[in-house]
Amino acid sequence: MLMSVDSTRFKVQVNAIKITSSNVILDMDSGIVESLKDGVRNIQFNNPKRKNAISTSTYLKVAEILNEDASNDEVVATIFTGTGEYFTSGNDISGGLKKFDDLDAAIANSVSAYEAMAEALIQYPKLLVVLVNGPAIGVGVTMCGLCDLVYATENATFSTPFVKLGLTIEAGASVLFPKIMGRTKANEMLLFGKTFTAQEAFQANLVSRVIPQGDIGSFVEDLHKKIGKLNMVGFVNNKNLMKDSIQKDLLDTFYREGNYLRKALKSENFMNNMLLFMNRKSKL
Amino acid sequence: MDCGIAVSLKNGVRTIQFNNTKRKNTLTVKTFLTISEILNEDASNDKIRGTIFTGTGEYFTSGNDLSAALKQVLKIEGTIADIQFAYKAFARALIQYPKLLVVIVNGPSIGIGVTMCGLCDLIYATENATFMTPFVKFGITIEGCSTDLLPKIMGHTKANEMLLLGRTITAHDALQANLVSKIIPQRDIANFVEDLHKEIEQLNMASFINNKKLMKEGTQKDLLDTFHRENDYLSEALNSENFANNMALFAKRKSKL
Repeated sequence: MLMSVDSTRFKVQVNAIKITSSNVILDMDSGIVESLKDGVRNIQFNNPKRKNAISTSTYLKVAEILNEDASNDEVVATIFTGTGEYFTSGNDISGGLKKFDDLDAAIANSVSAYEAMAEALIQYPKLLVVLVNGPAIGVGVTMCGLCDLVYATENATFSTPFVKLGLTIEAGASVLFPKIMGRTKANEMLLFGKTFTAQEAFQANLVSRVIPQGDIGSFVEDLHKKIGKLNMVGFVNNKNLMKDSIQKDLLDTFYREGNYLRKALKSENFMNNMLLFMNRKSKL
Repeated sequence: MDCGIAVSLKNGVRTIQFNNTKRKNTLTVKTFLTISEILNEDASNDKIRGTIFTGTGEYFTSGNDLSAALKQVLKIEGTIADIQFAYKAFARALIQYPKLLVVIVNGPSIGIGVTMCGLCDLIYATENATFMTPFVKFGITIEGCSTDLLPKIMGHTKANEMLLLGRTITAHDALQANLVSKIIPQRDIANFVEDLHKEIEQLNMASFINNKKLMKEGTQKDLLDTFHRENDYLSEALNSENFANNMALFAKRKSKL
């Protein structure tokens, strides 16, 4: 089974034993559970031993699904959520880097994979919903800027530790979040690393609605019904109209962020923080 | 000459009330054109300081009168081009109006009643006000430059619930999402409007106009681009099969009442 995301960027060959690309070994398990019901694609981050961390293969799998669904008339929407306690603890950096022989290749693969998913989100023409069911970290937060509707349970939290780790803001959030939340709140989150509660994220307009824990089942059912009734031609046309004005700047921002990210991943600052991080983990 | 509005002028404050009460204050081609005329004249009339929009009775407005579009689909009379022309005149008049624009949403507000809020300066709502935009449902497209302005005001996740999913937003939702600056309790409206009038009468108009211009230059420099782009999408949608089908369904449902 050949799984190709973008022919100019990243080709992954899956065989029975391992996925390889320039000496990088990736996990066989893509770390998601997906299903399709009445035209609604559900993608659940599912890596319970690692707090639903997103690995390179997760990024690629999600990108593949989104890109296929984009042109599949039977699919009208995608809902992202997490299984268990976490939404996602974000990019599985340490996991990705542990298995490297060639650091440059590891970094290139990791960034390409994340970019494939972010690009797929940016280009997806149908409805994108995020249901943040618990703590969301890093890309789990920034992807909210690229989706259409974001709901959070009461126990959801939002945290972006880029500065602490020596990494950089991604998924267009460097430009989108100040617009959504206002500068001062966006800076608290992105530059200061403040963890936002569901209520704070709602008040900052990052989240459309906070769903009480007990109401989640009926909320999701209601959401499915609403999606089922959507006039899809009208929806796609209007989403296109709304994205038109920001799309070009968004892609520019996205590529600019990519450059910063690649630099940061090679920096001493990041390496030192990674060593500290891995040291601390090994002591647990 | 029933244009569906009641117009008054008091101490330099123009009030325009949607009052087509038999039809939930719907806005017809005539309504749009008359309002545009008033706004454009008032823009250069030094005696006018500002305009307050509100509705008579239970509704703010049920939006654009689509029955005219229905008639065209059913091949009776009127043209979709007229509707679009009239709406564009109205939106342009709001975009260009240099003085104070206030909206007091006194009840349910639909379609253009919601999208015009992005183009006005102060938006107030009573507790029973609601905001709903059925563009996707009908197969037409979002207008009033709100594709650009409302996500900026409310954040995209809240704007999208309304604009793309077609959810009805309550006055409190609107307040939390920064679409509305204040909710006025029903019993306080008369006093509120009186106080508002007094404030407007005391405004330093030359300075107000200068500062509004300054703000719009920065925050709305791409507004006309957005406006043109939206109009292209709207023309296409109004002439689409999807819209015609939805209008036929709508007509069927109405005739069964």
